[in-house]
Amino acid sequence: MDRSSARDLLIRYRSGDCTESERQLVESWILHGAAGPPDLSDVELLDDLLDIRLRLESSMRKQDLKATVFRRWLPYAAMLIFVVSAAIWTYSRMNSGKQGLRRETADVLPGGNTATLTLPDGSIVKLSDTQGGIVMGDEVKYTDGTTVPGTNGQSPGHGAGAATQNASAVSQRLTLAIPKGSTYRVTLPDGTRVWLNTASTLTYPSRFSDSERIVELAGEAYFEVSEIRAPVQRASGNSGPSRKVPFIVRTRSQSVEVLGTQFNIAAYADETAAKTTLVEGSVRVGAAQNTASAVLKPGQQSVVSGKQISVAEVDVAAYTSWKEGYFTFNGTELREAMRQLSRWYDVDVIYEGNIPPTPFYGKISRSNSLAGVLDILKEGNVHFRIENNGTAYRVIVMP
Amino acid sequence: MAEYSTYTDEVLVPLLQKGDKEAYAEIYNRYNGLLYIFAYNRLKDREEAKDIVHELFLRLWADHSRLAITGRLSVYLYTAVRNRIINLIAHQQVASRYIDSFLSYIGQADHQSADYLARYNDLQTFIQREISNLQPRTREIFELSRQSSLTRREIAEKLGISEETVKSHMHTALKLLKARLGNLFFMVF
Repeated sequence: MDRSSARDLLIRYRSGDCTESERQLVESWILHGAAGPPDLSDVELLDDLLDIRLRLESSMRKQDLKATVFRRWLPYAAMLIFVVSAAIWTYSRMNSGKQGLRRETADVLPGGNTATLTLPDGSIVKLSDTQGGIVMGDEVKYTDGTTVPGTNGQSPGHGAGAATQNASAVSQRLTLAIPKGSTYRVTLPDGTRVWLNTASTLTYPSRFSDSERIVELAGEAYFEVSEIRAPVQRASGNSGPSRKVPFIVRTRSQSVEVLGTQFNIAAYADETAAKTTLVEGSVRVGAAQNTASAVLKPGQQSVVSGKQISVAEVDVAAYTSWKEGYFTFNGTELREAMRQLSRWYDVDVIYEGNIPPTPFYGKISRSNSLAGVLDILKEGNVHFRIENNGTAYRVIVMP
Repeated sequence: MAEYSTYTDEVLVPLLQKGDKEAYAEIYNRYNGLLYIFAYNRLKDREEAKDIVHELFLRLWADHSRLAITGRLSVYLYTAVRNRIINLIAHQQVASRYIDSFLSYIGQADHQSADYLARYNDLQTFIQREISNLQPRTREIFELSRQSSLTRREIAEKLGISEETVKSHMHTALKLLKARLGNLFFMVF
């Protein structure tokens, strides 16, 4: 057989126009003509398998989206009609200034970056949603270097050196409050960087003292604590040894003392336990209700529940990925996952019927709409419905 | 939550036909590595082999309710890949790359009877042998690729740096995997 008839045979095989023995010959060649292990390295093989997987996941999402687009939009269309007619009804009755509908869109969209800063004099400054964070220095500035309007004269220390002891400055406290659906960053006067998660507040002094740095947290935050050294107070001489100034985070149920490290604290009032996850360095976690304490190593997480402290190794990324804009579920129980969604999308969650504990695994971008996230979670065999009672949204969880 | 990894192919197929995504995920996990190696060894082109496996599994889900899988699932999947390989090979532009290999195979096969070829082409036996011939190392790579919580870079780095690290990683990965099967398979970024 020559090349052109070999090619001809392959083409005839493809069109089904060949004899039984020709068919067997071609199939036999495909099966047995290239035996043996692949000449790919482990990395190449793995790389290719992961590539196929990622491509498939991406195509399937697009496919699912197309398939469900009608089913998905139908209830929203109905909801939209309801909202529009309710809006017209409300508009036709209301006097100007009376409260209208809180939202007019059907799906619940994720929030962005907003926050308020309460200054020592009690005035409240609304921070720009086009900025992601503020820096506490001689002035309060946004991360792009522009001064935050309305904070003049409230700045931490006018030209004061860090070492200057000033009791009154220490007592001046500021509160950064993050509403539901937002995150915000702050760089504290000592250079410590804090990422605040949704529905959280951080209270801190306008200037830290040399003996300790104390902040108060409600909610969740990721800390990158800068190491600060201060000279040890001695009767004689001023070139003595220095010591690290501890950084202490207090929450309702615990206090975390650190000396320069990275860690995440989740201490929401609606969670039964406060979780501290250590990324780098070393921290000591003490329960507020007794003297129990534990020292964490990187990769460990402490769980403070009442007087109990337990420590376990965890997947750190799962507890810090909110900072990069993800919900990460790693065996996360349904109700805890729903509390996270509730805080981000500002919705109430109602459980209907008997829903068994369901762990979820996966990573979902927080830029998804609520319906988008629920659509993914329903793969775990739980069902959801978004309802609007005219003023607020709520999610009904069904078995 | 059901342990899909313990289900046989015969149990998974009707579940897939009913649109069970976890059954689909398990079938994918079971066969994607084998089918990729099968396609790659014949085409010697990583991109083409990836395309074939990707398209096959995409179709498997898109058409799940219309799938006519009468015999064994493995035979169905291998046949689908084989047909796609032949389609590609028979394509006018690429055919010449494979003609030499085909001609030399024909040379060896000339003395063999059609009877022998028919038995030799029993796909089921072929697949059994392919699976049993799989290097333990390759199996490990398959398992590792199931672990989508690790990024490509992470694993590749670990594979490149130290074998011990990879091994312990695989060990953890497998332990986690057993706990995870059945829930959220699809990661969304």
